Amino acid sequence: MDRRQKASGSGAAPVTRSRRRTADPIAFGLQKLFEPILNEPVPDEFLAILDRVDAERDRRTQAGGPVDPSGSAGL
Amino acid sequence: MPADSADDARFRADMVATIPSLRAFARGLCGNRELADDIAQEALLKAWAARASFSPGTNFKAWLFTILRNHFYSIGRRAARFAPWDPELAERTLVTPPDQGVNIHFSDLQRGLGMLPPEQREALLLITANGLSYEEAAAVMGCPSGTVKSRVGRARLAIMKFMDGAAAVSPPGEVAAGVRRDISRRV
Repeated sequence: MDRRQKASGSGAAPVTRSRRRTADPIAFGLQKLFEPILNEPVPDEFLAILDRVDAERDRRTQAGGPVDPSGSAGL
Repeated sequence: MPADSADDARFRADMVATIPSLRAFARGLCGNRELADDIAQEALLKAWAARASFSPGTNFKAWLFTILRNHFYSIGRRAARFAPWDPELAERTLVTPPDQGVNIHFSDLQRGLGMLPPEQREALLLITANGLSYEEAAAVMGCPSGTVKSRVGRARLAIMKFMDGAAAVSPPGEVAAGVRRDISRRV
């Protein structure tokens, strides 16, 4: 099966890689270990940080002043 | 909406979509929930600040991981002190890969991950847990892809040996020391 996937072109590579990872107990275990974090909703504080950056950027733009390229002033 | 605002909105949406992976990668690097989230939040701010340097069409996730990884190492010893036991993650005790007679204890896997040198741990996390290619991981880590392959191979071997040892009666410290000696003989 591997030989056929390799022969079918570059599009098959991710599938082969994915199957190899699933067959690897370490990869499987690590994926399962971190699965709960991947399935958690994004915590509010992460979104709040981005909101504060946006708000600061908007405030500076409306004030006509230079926009802090980092958008992170005051954070 | 001006073009740059639309671009910013798209960039922000991409960042938000990548937050779960970013948090998981940070957690794998430092093994501590609070520190991992601090690192991930800092990485988001840095990414936002550096958004002009992102080349559309390239791997956004790898770009963000690079920023997070650089920040992780820049904060030095605090981040390098890996906590090998994360009770929240390890509370689930067993997972069995499909079509295999291998049982994996999360607690052993975590301890094995914790005893790895940081460069092997990050290589293993990027390739196996986050699905990056060797070339993408090499870009994140700033080394040749062959080095990534070598580090992943050593990490996998060390964890397998550690988990084999953990199944025996040796205390974890002795097992880790034994694995390190074994690896140093092979390298």
